Amino acid sequence: MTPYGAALATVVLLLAKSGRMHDSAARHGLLLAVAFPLVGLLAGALMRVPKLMAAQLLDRAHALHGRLAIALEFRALPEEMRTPMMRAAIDDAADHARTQALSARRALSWRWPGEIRYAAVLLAVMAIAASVEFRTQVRARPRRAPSVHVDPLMLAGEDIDAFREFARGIEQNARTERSRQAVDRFNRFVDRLANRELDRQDAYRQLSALQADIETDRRDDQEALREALRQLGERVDSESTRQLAEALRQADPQAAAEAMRQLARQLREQRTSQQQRQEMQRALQRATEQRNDPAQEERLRRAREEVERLLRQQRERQLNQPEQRLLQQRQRDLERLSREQQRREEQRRQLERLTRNMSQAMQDLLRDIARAAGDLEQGAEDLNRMHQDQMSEQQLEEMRQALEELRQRMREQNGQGGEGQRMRLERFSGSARGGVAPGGMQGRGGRLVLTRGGPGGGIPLPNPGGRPGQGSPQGSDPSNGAQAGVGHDERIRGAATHIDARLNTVNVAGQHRDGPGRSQIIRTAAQEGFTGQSYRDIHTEYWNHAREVVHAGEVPPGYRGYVRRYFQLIRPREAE
Amino acid sequence: MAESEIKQTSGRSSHPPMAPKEALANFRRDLHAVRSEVGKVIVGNQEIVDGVLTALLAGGHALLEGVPGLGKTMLVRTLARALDLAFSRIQFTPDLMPADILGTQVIVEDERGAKTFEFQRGPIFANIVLADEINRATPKTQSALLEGMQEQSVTVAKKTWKLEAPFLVLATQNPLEMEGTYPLPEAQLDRFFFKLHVRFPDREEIHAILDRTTGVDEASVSQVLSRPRILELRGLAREVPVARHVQDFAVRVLQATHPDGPSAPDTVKRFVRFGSSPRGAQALLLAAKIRALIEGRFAASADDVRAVALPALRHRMILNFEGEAEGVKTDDVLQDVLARVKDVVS
Repeated sequence: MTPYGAALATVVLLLAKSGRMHDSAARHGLLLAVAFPLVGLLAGALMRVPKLMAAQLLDRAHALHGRLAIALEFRALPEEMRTPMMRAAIDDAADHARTQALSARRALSWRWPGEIRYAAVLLAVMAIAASVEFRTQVRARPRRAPSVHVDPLMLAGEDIDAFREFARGIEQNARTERSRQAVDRFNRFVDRLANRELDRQDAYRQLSALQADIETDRRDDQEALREALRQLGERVDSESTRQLAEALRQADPQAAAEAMRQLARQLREQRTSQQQRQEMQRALQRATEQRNDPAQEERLRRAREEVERLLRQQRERQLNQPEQRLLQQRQRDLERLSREQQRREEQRRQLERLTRNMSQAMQDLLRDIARAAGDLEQGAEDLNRMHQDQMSEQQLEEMRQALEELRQRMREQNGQGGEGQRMRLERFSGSARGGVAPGGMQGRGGRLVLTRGGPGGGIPLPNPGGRPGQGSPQGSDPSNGAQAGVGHDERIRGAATHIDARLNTVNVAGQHRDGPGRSQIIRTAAQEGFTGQSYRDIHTEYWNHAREVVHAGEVPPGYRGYVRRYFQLIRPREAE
Repeated sequence: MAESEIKQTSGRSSHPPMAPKEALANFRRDLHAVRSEVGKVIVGNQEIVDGVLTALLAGGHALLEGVPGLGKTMLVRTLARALDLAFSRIQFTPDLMPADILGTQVIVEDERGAKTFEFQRGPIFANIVLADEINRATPKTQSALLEGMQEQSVTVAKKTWKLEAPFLVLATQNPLEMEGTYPLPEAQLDRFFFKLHVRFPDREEIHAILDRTTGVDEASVSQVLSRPRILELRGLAREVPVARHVQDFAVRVLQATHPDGPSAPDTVKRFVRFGSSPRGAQALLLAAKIRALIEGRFAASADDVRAVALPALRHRMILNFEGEAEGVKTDDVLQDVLARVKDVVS
């Protein structure tokens, strides 16, 4: 029974370790395996040994040469069948049994069973199976974050592309690190919107933060530079440097650069008198004197001390809520003052170059006029750089406007009915391009007809009777303008405006020249994919005019978005 | 046949039956006397002496196999002297004729001058016949002896002569010079009760042989047992009972010598072509009985069967070609059989 038990135990162990058997079943299997030898032992112990076998075992154990077994068999015969020899054999066995101390224990002494070898081998196999490690890959289930239903903020693909193109344009013209960083932040935000990683709250929060950063940078830097230039203008003011001082006071670095170049030319052409040069020197000397802003430094110092004090208190004990708020406030103030200080330092460094050149020019005025002129020209270059920095301000301003427009798009396409809005915009954009819009809307002939004359002509505007931004459900027949301006959208503020379109007949004389004509370019723009320099020029011209019209108030507020949107959708693309 | 002859043949004495214990004691005493007497001349070979005696008492014949010069002839002659039995030795040669063994008719002239045929008995007419190198004679001559061994009589010229009991043939075979001989066929070998291997004496035994045979004094053998007594002993041997389980053991051993027998070991299945006949079982039991008496027991046991299994069965098993080619000995196969067959009844 032991080999069977060992074999069963081995199999159970292998199955359990390899994961093919549950632990509870394995335990039962092992218990059963252990039971095998025990059952065998018990069965052996309880099993009655046949008399004959017992006699034979006794004979063997006591070297009786079978006497007892033979006697037992003869004894079982009927008396009449026993021969004298049989009786003699019985008596002989009895004599031997009496004379020898027969021991059943000796007769049934422990003998290793014949199959003990197999049992030993199987036990060894079982021991090996018990020690074998079955490596199983347990994939730890990733802890699921609390399921938060992210409702991503959706934006039409067309809008995403438009903003990306805008950012590319800004990036190409970015001159300063600041404007490049701003573009980089803008691009990242747009990418996250495109990947639908932001829900409404996150999107508006990040948008607001982005706007605030750009606004802060722009405003602070602009203010600091303007102030520095004004102060410089005050200090450099004199009769001979009046133009320069005025330009500086106006915080117009371009004009100041021009003024400085003019001064340099005067020096080179020796059109200045000794007195004028001395006056110039004094003015430059005043300009180059270091002026610190003690008040600003004091404010910064006080803010820093306040924050440190509050932080010390926080380390020592728990701050209450008012103190916590105060600490946050002071930290924000400190941050702002530090930022201002940094910017002021930056501006000072920028002005330092200018003031250094001006100082050098002041010193050279006495010795070498030509060199002094060269110094002033370098100073003019410094002012030009400042002007370019101001250009980056313009870019930042454009970015600010783009962010505002982005906010508008987000609001439109994610409010109530936003899904429909996006679909309609897609269809509208498709119709505008003259291709197949999503939803299978086919623009009529793929052509845009842009005319200013004739009844019924005009840009196929969406049906104002529907929701804002709702495109025409069918490719509008450009010849039918009866639907435009009909109806009123309750969401639009203000009363409905009655469009009083006045049509003027303009006769245009065609001119023969090489290349496609303007109308041809416009008609084939969609087919050409809005590419080409000719189309770009036309688009710019029309867009500029449309902007003027929009800003002039000739287009109702509720429709301005459509106009901008339209021109955005048909904006020029880069040829692939 | 006279009544005395019948009784002598059957081995039953005309005296009142003896108590088993006494009979056993006498048996052992007489046998011991014979052994001792033979031991005066023959050195060692106790198992050969016992085997020959067993064959004699069982009414069988024995085949002695051994190299020349081991004292086989001397043993038989000495035994014959100790038992006061008529002894004859036949040296088998290739030109030996059956008549040389059985006897022949010769013309005899009586005193009146009349000529008649008279049967001259051959050397087979003895109690103990030593057939030396029986394998050298032709099969025709061998069969003449074998017929006498089987029938215990000789038929010549349509007349049958009974051979006097006890009739024991001790045949010898030289295992060395088998070329040009006529080995006994298996069917004929089966007629021998025992096949005994006469082994070469060891060093001490050789010393003893030399001391006894090269000196001045020669050992003499006295008669210690008479012919009637031998017949009585033979009868007593047959009275020894065998328990059923012992007989069953003997049968199982016999069956295990057959390749297709139950509990046949692998060696039998692999090397044996044909196992022992039922004559082997008869030999087993008879020999076991006699051994039991020799050992002082009243019944034959499984141990006795084991002890006599080799001489009783070794010549009755026919090896196959693989066995012969690999030089397998029947003794080894029988050892395997005895190890395999359990005597303890489960």
